[in-house]
Amino acid sequence: MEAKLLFDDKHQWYVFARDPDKPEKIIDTNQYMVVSGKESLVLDPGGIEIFSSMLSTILKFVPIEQVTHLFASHQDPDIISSLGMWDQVIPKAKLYTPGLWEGFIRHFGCENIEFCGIEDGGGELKIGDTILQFIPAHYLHSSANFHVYDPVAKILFSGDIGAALEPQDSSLFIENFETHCDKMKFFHQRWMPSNEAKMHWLERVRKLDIEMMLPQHGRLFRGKEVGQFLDWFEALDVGIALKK
Amino acid sequence: MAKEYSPVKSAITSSQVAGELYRASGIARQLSLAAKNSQAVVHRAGSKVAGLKVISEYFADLALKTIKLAEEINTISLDISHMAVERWRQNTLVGHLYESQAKTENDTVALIISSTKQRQLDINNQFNTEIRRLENQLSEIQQHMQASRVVAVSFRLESTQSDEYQGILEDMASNIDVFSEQIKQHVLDAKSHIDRLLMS
Repeated sequence: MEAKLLFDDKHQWYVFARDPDKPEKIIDTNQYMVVSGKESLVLDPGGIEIFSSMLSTILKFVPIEQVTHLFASHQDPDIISSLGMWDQVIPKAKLYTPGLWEGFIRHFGCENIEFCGIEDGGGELKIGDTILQFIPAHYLHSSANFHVYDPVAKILFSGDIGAALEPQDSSLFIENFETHCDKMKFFHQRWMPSNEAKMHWLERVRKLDIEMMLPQHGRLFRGKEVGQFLDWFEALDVGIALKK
Repeated sequence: MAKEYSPVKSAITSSQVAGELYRASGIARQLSLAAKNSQAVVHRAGSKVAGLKVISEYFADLALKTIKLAEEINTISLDISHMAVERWRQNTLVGHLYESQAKTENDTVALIISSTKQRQLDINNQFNTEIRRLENQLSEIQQHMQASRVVAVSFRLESTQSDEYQGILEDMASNIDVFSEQIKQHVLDAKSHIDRLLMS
């Protein structure tokens, strides 16, 4: 699994992606980790099929006892179906995820890890000396859904927003925004159900100072590509299945 | 019958070993660079330090071998990690199947239990073979690094033959010694992770 350091100051952001050992027919996912002091948060740790690759990759950078927090943006299997395994490996960790999904997510197995439900309005989480914000992204696409914003690194983890369906060996970063839009279009039109939800999210996110936007699938947005994406998404009609 | 180690501990151990070797291979790349630099200085120093030519070539060769071994160990560790997780999933499945049998006896479920247990056994045997292979590879790197430290002492002694380059060559010998020791330490940490699993 490819690992790359995205931000390195008093705390660090890593991306783990493009796992060559992943079974072919499961969707490729990007996992992220924030390390601050002796605590770490793994964002959308992924499905059960990539658990062993994730564990091996994480332990290249931090010892197991410093993997203290997990975050799941929503309940999908590619986000958190590995929970039952993490539950055994890091039993003292805490899971931050939408509170609305508690009864559903516990089906993946959560006997040891402390379940910390995020309320609909969002909230904050301190990892080491770093304060992260949970940004509501409800109905995009899941009915209870959060993104994570780091005001110091100016990074927004945007879950399925900004996702693109691409071959396994594609680059981590966008090389040409115009051509990349083609790879994002169907995903956003079909998976995102509501233009109203989209506008709520855009209004909220446009107030943030973002230098990097990190989706859970596809390529990472840097600099002006973030603004280009917000404009593109605003103009895109979503929820197309109802309009056929 | 091969001993069965906890799949949870096995998955953690193999990932810890991969982590140690990832750090060791980073240092081995620095060692390789130090060896190349020493080759260049020895070349410049000429006939006064002819004895160092062979030693610096040895270091360069050793660094490359270490990098290759570390990469191989990373691959084996990842395979072991996959096996451990697979065994873990099979164990969970068997547990659920037994629970199902306890509620209602069923021949089909009994057959699934039997085939799953066979698969568990196969994976366990394979796991035990691979963990021994991993131990051997780690011992090989450890031996390389012990040899490297011994040769670094000769390198330092030989460097006294060159007045002009003595300082640089001594520094290089120290670097090579430090890198070798750091790699050895990561290998020892990796081995102690495995030992803890095998003792469990």
